[in-house]
Amino acid sequence: MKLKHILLAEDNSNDIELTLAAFKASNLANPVDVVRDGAEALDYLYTRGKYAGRADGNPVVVLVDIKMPKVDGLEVLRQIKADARLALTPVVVLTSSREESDLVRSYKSGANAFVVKPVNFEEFSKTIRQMAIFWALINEAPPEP
Amino acid sequence: MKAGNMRLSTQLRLGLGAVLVITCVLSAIAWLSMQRAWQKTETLYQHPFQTERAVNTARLSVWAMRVNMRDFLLLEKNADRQAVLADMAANQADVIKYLDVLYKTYLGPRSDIDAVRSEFQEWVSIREGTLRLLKAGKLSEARRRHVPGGLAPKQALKMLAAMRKISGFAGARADQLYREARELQAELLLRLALFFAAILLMSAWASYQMHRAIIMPLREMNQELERRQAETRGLIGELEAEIRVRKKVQEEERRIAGLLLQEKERLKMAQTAARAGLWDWDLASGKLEWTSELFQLLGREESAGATFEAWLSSIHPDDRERALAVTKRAAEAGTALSNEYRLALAGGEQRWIAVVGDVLHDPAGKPCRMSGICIDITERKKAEEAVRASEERFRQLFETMSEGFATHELICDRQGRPADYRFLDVNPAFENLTGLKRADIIGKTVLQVLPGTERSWIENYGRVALTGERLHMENFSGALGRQYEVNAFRISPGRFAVSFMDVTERKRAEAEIRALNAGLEQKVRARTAELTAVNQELNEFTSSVAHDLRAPLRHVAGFAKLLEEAAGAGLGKEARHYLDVIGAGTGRMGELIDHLLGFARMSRGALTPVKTDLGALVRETVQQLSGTAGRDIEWVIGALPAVTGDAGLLRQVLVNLLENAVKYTAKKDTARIEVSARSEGGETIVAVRDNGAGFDMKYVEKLFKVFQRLHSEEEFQGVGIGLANVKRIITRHGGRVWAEGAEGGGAVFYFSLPEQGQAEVQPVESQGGTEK
Repeated sequence: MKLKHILLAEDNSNDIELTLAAFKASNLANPVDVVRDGAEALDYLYTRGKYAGRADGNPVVVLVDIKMPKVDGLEVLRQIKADARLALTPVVVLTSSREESDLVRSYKSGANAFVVKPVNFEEFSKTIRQMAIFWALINEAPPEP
Repeated sequence: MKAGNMRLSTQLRLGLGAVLVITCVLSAIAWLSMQRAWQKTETLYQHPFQTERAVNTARLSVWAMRVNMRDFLLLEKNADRQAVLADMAANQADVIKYLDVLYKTYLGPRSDIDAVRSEFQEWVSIREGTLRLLKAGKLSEARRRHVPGGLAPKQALKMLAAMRKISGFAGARADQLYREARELQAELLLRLALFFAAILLMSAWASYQMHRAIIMPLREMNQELERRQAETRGLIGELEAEIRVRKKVQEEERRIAGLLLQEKERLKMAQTAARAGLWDWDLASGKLEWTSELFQLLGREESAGATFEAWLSSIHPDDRERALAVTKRAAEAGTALSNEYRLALAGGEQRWIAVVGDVLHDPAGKPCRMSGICIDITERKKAEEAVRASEERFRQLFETMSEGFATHELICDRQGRPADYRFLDVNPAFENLTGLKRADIIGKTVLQVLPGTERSWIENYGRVALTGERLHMENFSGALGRQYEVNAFRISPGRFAVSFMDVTERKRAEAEIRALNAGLEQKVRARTAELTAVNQELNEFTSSVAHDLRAPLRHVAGFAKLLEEAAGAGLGKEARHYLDVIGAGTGRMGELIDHLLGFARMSRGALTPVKTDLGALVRETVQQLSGTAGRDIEWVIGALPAVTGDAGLLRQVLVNLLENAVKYTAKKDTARIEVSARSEGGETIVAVRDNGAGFDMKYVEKLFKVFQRLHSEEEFQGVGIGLANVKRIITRHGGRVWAEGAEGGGAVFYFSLPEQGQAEVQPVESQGGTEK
């Protein structure tokens, strides 16, 4: 069976690098696709623009940062959850700090999880690993539409 | 009585003894007579039979001997003759035996028996002659002797005749004896009769004696006794009556004594209560008597005695002359006394007395005696003085007070409704305030003075004067064109007093102030709105900054770590140390940012005040902390009330304060943390006291500021934001925080919460736009 992709929507290249390093350290086989803003994330999900013709289906999980240029993470979340084809795809909101208003809005918009990125790299690495293992291996993905 | 008794017993004894002796003698005589009668009777009874039997037996034996003799003569055989002889010998012995018996029993002459015996002997000798004839073989001779008319039968007849004589005597003797016995019986009866007669006589005599000696004295004694008893009873009755009378008299005496004592006591009490003393003066002898209360009243020793001089010297020197004159006049003219004097008392104490008295006259109409009472009237005098002073003060007040004051009399119409009122008195302030002159208005009515006076004034005052209800009002007088603040009260029914102030100016000032205040409030509202907006902005800024700071920090930390991994073993010891420092620094900064964010959050979120049980919150928190502290802490939790506040935030406050207490007592052997609360000035004040490291009061101001610490990180871990949070939360609840402590001497942290919820209600973004 073909391994499903993980989508990471993150604008900060440092964060991307750190996140990928963490993924790498977790020895997870699922490929990680990175998009640099919300618009690109939506393109990816709707297989349009740059991603037209992408045929690997919906990702096993979408990791989305809240603060992103163009279309921010919460907007991406709302659009995913509003679309019948994407609505079942798990979305994890990744953020730098636990802001209550963000938390509330995320869950109200249908986030499946809300994860704060720790400053300490070891903890960050651990968090990413646990999250990836959970969504890619433990959690049963929803059926393809 | 005793001698009589002796006599009586002696008499009795003697009498009884005599009776006994006589009875014995008579009994003996009777006994002897009986004995004799008995013997006689016995003889009488036995003699004829004995004699007859003896005679007959002897006769039969004789007869048998005659038969024996005949048989002997007839029989041939020798043996038979021998048997007959033996039988004959037995018969002969019988005859002799009965003759001997006769000797003993026969009462007649012995010669009768001797005659029989000699005849018998004769007969026997004949028989023996016969026997001898037989032996000689002269049978026929022998037989002849014994044929009838023979010798032997003749002798036998002779013997029988002698025997008959004896029988005859016995019969005769029996008759005689019977007669004698009858005589003896008669004699015996007579004697018995005599004896019983004697006994009877003696009994009678003894009875009489007894009666005389015992019964009669007894009856007399009894009568005497009864008489004496009656006498005694009479005496006792008299005595009892006497006792009753005496008892009654005693009771009466006691009652009167009691009454007297009571009266005396009452008089004493009355005198003491009234601070009064009685006096009595005999004008003729000059003898003066005072009650002890009077001595006391005048301040004199009772032992010194009562004299007119002593009394006079008790009076104040200024009053003495008057007292002397008045008393003299009264004594001479016989008029009643009633005067008041000051007393001259030791120690300079000023007291007043009233002397009241009356004079008694002798039959000639001359004054002979004065008596009366002295009363301490100091209190009354003082009260009078006080009233005078009070009146004076009142008058001064009346004259000088700045309020206008007037007394009025209400005038009612026919229906009893207030129609007008009259001025009775007004003070100078009244004149000043109204511009009316006292002389122009006293005695006039208000409608006369000010015809334009509104009805409302008269009606209001009328109510005061009629009902006694007090009145306080502000009213505008159109007649005077001024605004007045008025107090009115009733003095007596129909009359009332009014005090008033002209508040026209004050009213004007108040209106101005109100206008100013309204403007000020408007400004404050606007400024507050501005400040709220700025505050909001600032909070958002803090949050944003904190948020944005975290990302680069994470990068530094992350890449340092990746560097360390990439370099692997090739990294020098020093370089590794640098990386460690970078790691630690970023970690610490991350922590600071987290707290800063928390602090910002604390400042922003809306408060949701609910009734919160502080006690429960503290107990929960203590339970958590005890689990993590890892050492023994002595918790002392006092009674904590329920307060109104945001439960989550208040929990945060308690967690921070208690965590601090636990943290700063870590180096103590026995940590003791105390939580208590008290109510003071409408606030609940909670204190958290520990015996930990404490702090220098010099730096107390820094305690509640963000990132301000009084201890180094090495000494006690922490970022210095907990107390700032506490302060922020409590301030938002409308309370205060403060602390007391000493370096090494523990610390106390206090916070107060208003008892009536006064927490701010801050607009939050989601509720924005509620303000207009």
